[in-house]
Amino acid sequence: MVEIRNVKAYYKIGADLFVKAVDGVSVSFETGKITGIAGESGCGKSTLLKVCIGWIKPPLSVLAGEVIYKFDGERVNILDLDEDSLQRYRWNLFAVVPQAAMNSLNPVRKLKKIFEETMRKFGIKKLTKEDEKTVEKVISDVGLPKEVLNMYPPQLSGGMKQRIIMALAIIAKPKVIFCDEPTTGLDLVTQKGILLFLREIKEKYGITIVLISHDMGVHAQITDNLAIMYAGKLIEYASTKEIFRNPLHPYTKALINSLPTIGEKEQKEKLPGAPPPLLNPPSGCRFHPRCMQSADICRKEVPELKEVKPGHYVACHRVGEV
Amino acid sequence: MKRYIIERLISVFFTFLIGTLILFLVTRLSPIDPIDTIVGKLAMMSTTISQEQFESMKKTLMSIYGLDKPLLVQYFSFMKSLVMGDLGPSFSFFPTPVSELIFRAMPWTVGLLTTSIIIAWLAGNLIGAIAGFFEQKKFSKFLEGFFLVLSLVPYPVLALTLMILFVFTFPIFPYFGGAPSSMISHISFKYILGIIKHAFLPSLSLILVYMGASVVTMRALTISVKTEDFTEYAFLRGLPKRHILWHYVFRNSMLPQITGLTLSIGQVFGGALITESIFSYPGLGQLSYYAIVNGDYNLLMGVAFFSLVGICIAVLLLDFIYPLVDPRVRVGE
Amino acid sequence: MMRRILRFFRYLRISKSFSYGVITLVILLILGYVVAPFAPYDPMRWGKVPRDRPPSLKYPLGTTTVGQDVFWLATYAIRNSFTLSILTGFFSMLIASFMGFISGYLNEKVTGKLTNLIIDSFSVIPGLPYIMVLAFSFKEYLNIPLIALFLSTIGWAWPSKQLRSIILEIREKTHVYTARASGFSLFTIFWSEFLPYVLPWIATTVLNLMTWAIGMETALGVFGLSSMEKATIGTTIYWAMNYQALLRGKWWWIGTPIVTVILMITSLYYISIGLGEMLNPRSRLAQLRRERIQWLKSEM
Repeated sequence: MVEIRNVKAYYKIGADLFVKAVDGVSVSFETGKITGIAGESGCGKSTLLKVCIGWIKPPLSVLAGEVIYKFDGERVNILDLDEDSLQRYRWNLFAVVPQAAMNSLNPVRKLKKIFEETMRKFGIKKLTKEDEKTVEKVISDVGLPKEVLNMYPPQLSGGMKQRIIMALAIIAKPKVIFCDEPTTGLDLVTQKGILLFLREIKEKYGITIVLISHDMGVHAQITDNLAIMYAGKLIEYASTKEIFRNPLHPYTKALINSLPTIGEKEQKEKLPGAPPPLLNPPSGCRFHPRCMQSADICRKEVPELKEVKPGHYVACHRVGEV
Repeated sequence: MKRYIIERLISVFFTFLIGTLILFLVTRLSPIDPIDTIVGKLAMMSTTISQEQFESMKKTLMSIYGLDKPLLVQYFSFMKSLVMGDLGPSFSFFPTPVSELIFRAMPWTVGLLTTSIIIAWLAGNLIGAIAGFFEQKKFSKFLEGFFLVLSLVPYPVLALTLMILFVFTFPIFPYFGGAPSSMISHISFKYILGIIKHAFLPSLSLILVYMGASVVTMRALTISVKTEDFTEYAFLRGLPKRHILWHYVFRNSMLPQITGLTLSIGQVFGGALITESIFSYPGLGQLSYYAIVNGDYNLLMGVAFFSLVGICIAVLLLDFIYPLVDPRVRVGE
Repeated sequence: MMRRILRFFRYLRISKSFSYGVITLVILLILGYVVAPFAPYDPMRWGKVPRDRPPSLKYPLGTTTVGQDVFWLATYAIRNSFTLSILTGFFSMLIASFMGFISGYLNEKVTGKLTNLIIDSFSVIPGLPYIMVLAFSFKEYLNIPLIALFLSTIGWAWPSKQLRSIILEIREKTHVYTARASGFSLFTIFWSEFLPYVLPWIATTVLNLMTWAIGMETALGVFGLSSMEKATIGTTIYWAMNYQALLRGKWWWIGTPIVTVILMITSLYYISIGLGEMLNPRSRLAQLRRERIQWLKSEM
């Protein structure tokens, strides 16, 4: 559905200074599946999302690469589009569930109106009875009573607002939905509800979902495929099952090991060091300063993303050697 | 919502109390004794008013200015006179009661003030919103600088400058008055045109200064609303820019501006008084000028009192309009 | 301290408006306080110089209809207006600090709420008519300090409101809780947590009050309610209007106070903006960020 080819997106913070948030990332998001993007804070996942939805505002700029959407037999590179064309695709082709949705709803606008404006496909001024029914159905799909449409955002709780944001995401029937940390900051029960809802809309409507989260537990629960990012680079990609069963990159192993298991009594090991500054990343493999298995080559050469098993890609020089 | 109304009513009522308390204190502490003045004037006019009129006048003055009874009683009779609108006779236009003079002048001031504020608020906020929305563009920065300087100019200075420019240097506008003096006052198109012509410069003076402040604050407000999450989310949804400008940016930044209006209305009113006296516009401002020049203490007190009442009413009105545009107050949280 | 002074001069170079403000203010202050005492005659006295002369070499700003030298009149007026505005700022801040602190600190208690009501009332009361009544009642005693006092009775309200909201904001800031919880004494907290926020506000507010006072004095002057013996901007305008200076084309008499006022107010304003930015802890953060990037650059 979406193919990302060698995207380089940097933040310009000085005359010659760039924060290399996304440094040559290539990945595909399989149609009709949920792909997760995992990684620590600052690894570039949010920036990748921004590039995917064409939300490129200074100081961010895309230096290279393509983001290609394939649908209905067409191929569109949204990075090529001008603002107006991009505008037409927004919400029709892809939708976003932003991070921290708490303040994403206009406090002085009735929810009904917010839905109306979101649904207003170009040309249609007034909504028909059918459209209203659609809205009501979506509202009940997310588990909210239809009375909520006559309320204003400040009257809703955080969890309710998050569900409204989800409802808004699917109302225009997009082909892809990007979710940026949809569960962060919410209680576990609401989190579960949201994840189940995502799975449901994938199965019912066949929507491709991209889920960004630093929480590996979230990925374990619903994603089909998983991409791991580190310091602006994609370091591993495979189906979720495969990643959890057989993680190949040392960083991935560390991430998975950090998840507690019931019955485990040993102390969790912490990964030494901290994520590198993206202003001036380490040479070669960006993980090498913290890697237990780093060798000379890791310092010198940047590892390529290689398919070491069918469907399982890793960027590491020492795969299989340890 | 109910709580909001009660709070506002208490606040305005308290303002009224404090305002009248100050006036009361001034009358007691001031070295001027209006009762002597009136007795003096009456001595000259003893043939033209009856004994009863004199007694009632004296009674009013005593209740407003007198010191014969205990302080608390004085305060109550003071308040009673005020609330009844009985402020005693004017000294300079003796024996016309002050309230009559004020009511005659009030429509001019209210008219001037209302139109000027409405125009200035609307225009200022619209320009400010557009300037804020396009904050990086050159015209936005220019507008901000221009209106900033404008907002700093004191009302009398701008009024005088406009007068110098458009009454003397380029004699377009009339020098004084509220309406063409050569015409009998009946409603005709020419008469109304004349009113507009006379009101143009004073009104422009008020509008420019108030717009100055409006544009600058609205621009800053708009810029901050523009970076709010909900505005960004609106962009992400592909909503048209004009829609966002109006429903998201303007509707949100407008709200603090209304509150701001309730607080600045006292200032603009002062500006109206000055502007009127400079342009000899027949409103409360000119009345105050006469009062001062002629030592008419009563009249001045009357103007102060009515200013207080007027402002309180205006503030209350605005407070009642506010819930209509901000649903959060209507609905409670 | 030294760093502050250096920052001041650096900012002077960077910001055009700030330097305009400072330079203009300095010139005006020199005119008012240094040059004025050298006046060869008391500028307020009538008939000291030939009447109604337009600006010339001898009388650089012309003379008035009652025989006053406009230039020396202006210097005295500048001085008096400045003195008035500084006094107003001082008195207003006194009252405002008191009321603001009480209502901010005791926000939940009855005293706090009452004080808050009082502050709000004074913010709404129409200032000019009230000050006019005050000034009129004490007409014979009007002098610069008294006018400043009268102005302050209204002028304190807005600063008080702002101070109250600053205090409320500071109270809620988590780092104050942390400081208290960590056992820092109240004095240390005041010094390191409150002051950085309050000092810049004090500087800007005093300057704003000064601007407002000058404007109000001009307004009072138009009504003839300013100090009649001392030369002020307002009084000058009053006399000029009274003698129909405009109608008779004596533009220098009324033009001078107008231009002077504009210069005074704009210079004070730009200085207040500049100071606000300089002292604002948040803009200093931006400066720090810039400096850090410079350092990072050098490390590469």
